[in-house]
Amino acid sequence: MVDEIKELNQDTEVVVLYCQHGLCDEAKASAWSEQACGLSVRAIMMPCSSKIEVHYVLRILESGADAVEIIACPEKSCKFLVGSRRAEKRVEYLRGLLERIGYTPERVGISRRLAQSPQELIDLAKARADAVRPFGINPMKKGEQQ
Amino acid sequence: MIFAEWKPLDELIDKLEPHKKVLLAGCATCVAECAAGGEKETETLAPLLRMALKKRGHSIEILTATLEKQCEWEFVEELAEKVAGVDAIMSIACGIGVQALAERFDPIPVYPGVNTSALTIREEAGLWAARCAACGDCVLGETFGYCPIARCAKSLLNGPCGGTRKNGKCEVNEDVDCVWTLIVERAERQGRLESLSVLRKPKDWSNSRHGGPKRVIREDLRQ
Amino acid sequence: MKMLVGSNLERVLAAGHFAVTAEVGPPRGPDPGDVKKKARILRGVADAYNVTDNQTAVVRMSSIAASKILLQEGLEPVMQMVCRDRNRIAIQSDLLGASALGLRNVLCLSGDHQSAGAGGKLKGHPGAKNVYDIDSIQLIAIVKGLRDQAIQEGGDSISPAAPFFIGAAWTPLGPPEKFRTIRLAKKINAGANFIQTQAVYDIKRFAEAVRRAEDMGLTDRAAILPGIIVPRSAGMLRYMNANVPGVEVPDEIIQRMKDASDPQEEGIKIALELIGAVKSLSGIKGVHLQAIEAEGLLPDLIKAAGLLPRPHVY
Repeated sequence: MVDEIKELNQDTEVVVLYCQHGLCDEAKASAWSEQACGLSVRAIMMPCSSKIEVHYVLRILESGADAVEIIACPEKSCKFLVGSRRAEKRVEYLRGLLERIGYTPERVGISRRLAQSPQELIDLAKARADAVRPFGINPMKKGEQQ
Repeated sequence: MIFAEWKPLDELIDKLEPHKKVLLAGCATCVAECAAGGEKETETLAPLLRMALKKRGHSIEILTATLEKQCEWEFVEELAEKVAGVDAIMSIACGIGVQALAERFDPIPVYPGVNTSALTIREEAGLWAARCAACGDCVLGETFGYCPIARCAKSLLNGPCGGTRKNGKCEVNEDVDCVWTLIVERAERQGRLESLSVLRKPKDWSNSRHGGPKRVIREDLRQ
Repeated sequence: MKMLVGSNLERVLAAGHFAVTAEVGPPRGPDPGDVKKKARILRGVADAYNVTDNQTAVVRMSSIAASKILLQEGLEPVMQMVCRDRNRIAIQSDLLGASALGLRNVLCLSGDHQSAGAGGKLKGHPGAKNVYDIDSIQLIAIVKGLRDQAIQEGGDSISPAAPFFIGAAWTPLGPPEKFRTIRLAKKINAGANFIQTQAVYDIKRFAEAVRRAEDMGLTDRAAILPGIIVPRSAGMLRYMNANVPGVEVPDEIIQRMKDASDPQEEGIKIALELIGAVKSLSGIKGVHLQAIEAEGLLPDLIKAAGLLPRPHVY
């Protein structure tokens, strides 16, 4: 279930959680990576975006990722019918939680896309990185980690 | 179920700030059903609090455990092996659970992570509504299955006040149905509207908290 | 004629006069002068004067104190009493105290929920504890017990009995409408002697509700006094129509206020028409006038309605 790209040695670290239907068929089985300026992308495939729980994303942020971008299928295309809508609500909820503890909500985002190429996913990660960069690196990166 | 919600996160963070190693204890029963203190919520709150405290410059260790029930000693006992070196416990179970942990693990301070506020039903996904007020003098047999104590803002017993909105909602909260409107309509559907003409006398509140802290013994169940 | 209590309001009604009551709101402060000022404006224009009890859950001088001040000024009060803030012990105690001070009319209400006090510019006390130990109908029964049997709610006696002419409120057009007459019957069965209603603007629908009450024999057993609030602007009417439960304002009346070149004058005109209309309904024994923080309007209004001077009944 986990596809990992080789880490790129740049600043902003974005983890992409994508529904298996969010990546085009040709790309699914293969590792994909692209070097991009100021960006390090790690991609993890999920069976459905609704499998993404709030605490799962929080643990990724706690471990130091600067941002998490979730790629969910558009409303009418979700194979589990309401899965991607649930994912969207959870992202909203999580953004609110982050704000309440003094973190920018921009550290989590969601895009509704289908059958993207690896480059398209990286572009989405880049957009997320751009959104979060003004707020600095994740405070969890400084010093000792749990 | 017993309904609870997280206290404001700032309060929780302030409370834990002086501590180094905390056990966050959830409960898989009522508070899990109202998405406040079950395993998911425990696993969400722990990283949230760690991240919040990290931002304030504090490194805190937060262990997590979710008990089946925090109101049964046999389950509470399961925490005993996890409290070594812990300097505070935060429970996101209802007030009953918080107190059970406080009693069992004295002198470790136990803080509530939630506000327990009602007895509710989950009407639909994401919607809980109060149904029972634990008044100790149940009148549901006279009010056609709608509780006027829990569901009327004024706990009226003799019909609606003059505050029912035109759309049948309560004047105090426009999202809440005037329960007396519901009672009258159901009475009508059952052809028993006249039963509501009977004058209901003032309630005896003494079989609830109003009569003093409740302490009940059942001899047949004592050992 | 046998009086229950002998209050002025009771005597006026018993003698068959069309009664007039007016509302006096106590001040948000402890100065008796504020009450005396209103007393001076309203002296002689009504048979009795309602003194509100922390209306909309806003803390004001207590109804019992303000009522006593009115009494000292020579006006007869109707002390309003809500169930929101006091349990049955405090309520009965206050009733005994009120009686000792010479107060003889009481209007029994549930009372606005405490959340109502936090609105507009006011902070109020939305966090206050709910009391509502009893409801308005139980309160009516309690007052009747103190009066007719010298007995408290719990069964102990008082000595002597506490005489009160008992009032209750009616919202005839509030939903569920068909239950409103049943609820009125409950209040009268519990002991209510007079009824003051929520503000009336829709005469047709009000008349229908009164007819239903008449059919149930209620209008003979208690004196119904419809509430009249003088319109001040179309906006005020629109607001009340949308937000005040039980108040229905027909479009024509809102339109009249909107089109009026002198809204104050039109408002008085409308109020006079409403007074005239309810006066002609059988089963209506008087009228209850409210002019929220505009008591100055009332004397001229009551005069123009042909209701002055008020009768002296001995």
